[in-house]
Amino acid sequence: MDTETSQTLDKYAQDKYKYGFVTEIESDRPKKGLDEKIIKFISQKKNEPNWMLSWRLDCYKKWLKMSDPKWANLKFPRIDYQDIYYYSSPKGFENKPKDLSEVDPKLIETYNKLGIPLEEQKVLAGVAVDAVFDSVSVATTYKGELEKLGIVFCSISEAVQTHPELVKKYLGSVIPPGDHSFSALNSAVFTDGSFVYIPENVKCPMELSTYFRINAEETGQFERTLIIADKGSYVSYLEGCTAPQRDRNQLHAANVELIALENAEIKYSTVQNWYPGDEEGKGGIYNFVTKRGLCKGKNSKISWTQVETGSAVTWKYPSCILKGDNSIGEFYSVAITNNFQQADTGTKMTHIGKNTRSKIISKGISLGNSQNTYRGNVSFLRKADKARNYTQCDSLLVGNKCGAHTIPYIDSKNNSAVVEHEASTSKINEDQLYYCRQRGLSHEEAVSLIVNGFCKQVLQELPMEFAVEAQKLVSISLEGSVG
Amino acid sequence: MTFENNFINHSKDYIFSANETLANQREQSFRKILKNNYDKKNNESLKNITISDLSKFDYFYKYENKAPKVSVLDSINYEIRVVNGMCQNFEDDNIEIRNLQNYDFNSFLDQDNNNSDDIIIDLNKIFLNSGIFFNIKNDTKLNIRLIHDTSDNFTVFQNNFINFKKNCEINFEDHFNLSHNTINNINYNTKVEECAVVKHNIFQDFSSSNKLYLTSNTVCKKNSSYNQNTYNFSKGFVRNFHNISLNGEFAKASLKGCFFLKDENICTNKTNIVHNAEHCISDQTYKGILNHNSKANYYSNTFVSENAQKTEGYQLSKGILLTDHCSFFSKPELRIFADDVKCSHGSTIGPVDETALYYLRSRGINKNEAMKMIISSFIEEDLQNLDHQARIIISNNLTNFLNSLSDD
Repeated sequence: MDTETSQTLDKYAQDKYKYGFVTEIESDRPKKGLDEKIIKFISQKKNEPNWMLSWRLDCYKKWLKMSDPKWANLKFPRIDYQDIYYYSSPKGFENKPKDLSEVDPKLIETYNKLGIPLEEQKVLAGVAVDAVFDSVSVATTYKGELEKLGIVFCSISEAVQTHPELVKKYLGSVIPPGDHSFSALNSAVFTDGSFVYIPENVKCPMELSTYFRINAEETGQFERTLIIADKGSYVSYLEGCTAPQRDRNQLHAANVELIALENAEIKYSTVQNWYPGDEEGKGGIYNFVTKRGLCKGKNSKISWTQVETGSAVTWKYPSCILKGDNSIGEFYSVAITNNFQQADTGTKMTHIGKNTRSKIISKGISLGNSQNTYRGNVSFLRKADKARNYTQCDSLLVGNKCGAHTIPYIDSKNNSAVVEHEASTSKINEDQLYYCRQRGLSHEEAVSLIVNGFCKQVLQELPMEFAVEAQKLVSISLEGSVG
Repeated sequence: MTFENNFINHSKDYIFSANETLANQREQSFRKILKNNYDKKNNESLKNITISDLSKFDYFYKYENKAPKVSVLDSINYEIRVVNGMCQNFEDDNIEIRNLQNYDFNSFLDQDNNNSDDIIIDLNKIFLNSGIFFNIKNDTKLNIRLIHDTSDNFTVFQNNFINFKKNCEINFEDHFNLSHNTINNINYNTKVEECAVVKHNIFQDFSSSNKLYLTSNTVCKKNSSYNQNTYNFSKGFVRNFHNISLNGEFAKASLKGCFFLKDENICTNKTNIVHNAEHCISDQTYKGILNHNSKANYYSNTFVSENAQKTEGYQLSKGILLTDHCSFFSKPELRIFADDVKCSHGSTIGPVDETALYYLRSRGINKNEAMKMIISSFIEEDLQNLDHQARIIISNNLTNFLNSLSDD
């Protein structure tokens, strides 16, 4: 490695996580640990009906019998589930504020620091935001306008009260609580998250957005998102996440379920920037996320786009079950790991219906001492006639202390289905670097340009509002550190 | 016969049975199999394999009067007939061949065994009843044809050691002439020394009552080259499991495989290439054509350690499914810890290309002939480097396979 590259690498290593501040806000939380009492406490805090509580308790019983999945290429100490707070809410949030003027100014300031000026976004960008602070949804903007179209966009706790029939019907229908231990855990203790329902033939006129923030120490965040797109509807949903800089690892185990009925389309974009830990690998978020979409109706489409730059450990596989004939699943991902970060991420495309199509584009970039794994599963079941999949996963490596791994599982049981998979791993092309340098770009600029080009296929899938943020994030993460 | 009975009744028949260290290890492996303590969920090489079926067999092995023979056809051509795992002891200026002796015990224990969670390797260790030591001497240029003859009902658990010494250039061929109802669990430990060039062709063609578990662990030293081609036309179960370690700089390894399956047949292929030194190149290509209710699995892994800079590693798997009752599972893995590498993998599974079929049919060729042409061309590129005799064997087998398509 040349000196210039080492210098820029060092420089990057000194870049600090800019969302690592803590908001000094009083929070209301019960004792640590997990038992039936805590679940009852959460349920009571949320004023939930009995059916919800018994569902939670059933899930808890399932979780007790399960052990954590071990197949991922990740190394982390055993999680002590009794050493975590399962509920934390900014004090005085028993009743959710009606509008932004009732929200604690400190919270608004926090979101402004994060670049989520709720007020401003509400007016200018036309993005409806649901902001989740620790375990509680703080504010949902633009609600009134959405209601006129019949769109429901609220926190999941609210939806349990206002739309119990939809929650009852769809909650846990895509990710069964018994699927694995993290999904069972989330089902038992989920505290908040977003709920979206788009009625028949409605195209949601704006991007819906949620911002998640873990603030309180030793708190786990367990959010649950449920999006239902009824026949012929369309919605684009954005999700962003940050957390303060802390020495201890924090747990984040979310479940996201999407359901697309006939001719419906859901576009789900994530920029994940949880605190990744410091240069020595101390602290950071353990991010165990289960995201699954069900293309239930004919001609439906679900598209996942993710930019993963944060978290000490990422375990995340946004998947699609392509059940309806002619349905489409897409997965676009950029995963960047640095220092001692570990990421095991990818997708699962299960083709059940006829003429179903899926596309996977994954870009992994590893730096420092990090480990970055792409794990993908593409399967064609017997009835998936004429189904098609195209997978491309590319990895870039910087330095010989990091690792890039590609583990695809391809299973075809149908002879008319076609699957194509290709992957490559390499370092930055010296010729491209030389070409850019010749034209007067600095080493850093050249690297940034090439890497942005490397990720472009994915970044261009992000909605405008996120594309800028994501591009900046990629540049920061890679500034001069590839060479 | 149950697994316990096999183990207890025949314990004196095994090689090195007097040795206490091995006896303990065998006992451990025996208990492990009894407990069925294998991580089947996370170990895909055990997919489609029922552990109880593997351990339930009638152990049968005895020394027969059929004399194995080493024939020196001319100065460079050797034909070695191995009967039920035994060979004729032989030595000349070029090669040394002998059956395993008690003093080979240490080599047996030292063998690079990175398949710790593999029941087939464990079974080989427990029931080991034969083994051959090959020494191919420095600077030789030879064609060696090895024919495995196994008599009816024999269960052969064989562990072979091959040393390809410096600068040799060898064409090594394995042919399996299996009778009926045989089990052949064969393990190769191969060393390819500096500047040696080895071409290893494996032809698998036997009836459905036979089973073959072929495992190889190959270590390549500096500037050496090891090319393995496996052609599987068998009607019986085959598991090919090949590990290669590239331990010296500029070593090259290539693993190619073609399998043609029909009826209820199952074939499992696993390859694992470990790059431990700089400037090494590896290439893996596996192709399969599946008919009727057959099932195939292909797992490949290219591992590049952090000091193996300037590595090139390529993997490719292609599968053609001819009916909607067959299935193909593929898992091409890359695990890379060095940054200055060029690695890639590709995998495709699908039916015969319809455009190609249409093109041929529109030129007046009937469907069967068109299918045959497309399938022949699918593997043709892998036959380019074969010598004339090997090509004839493959062509005959391919013609048989293609003719069986027209019978359906």
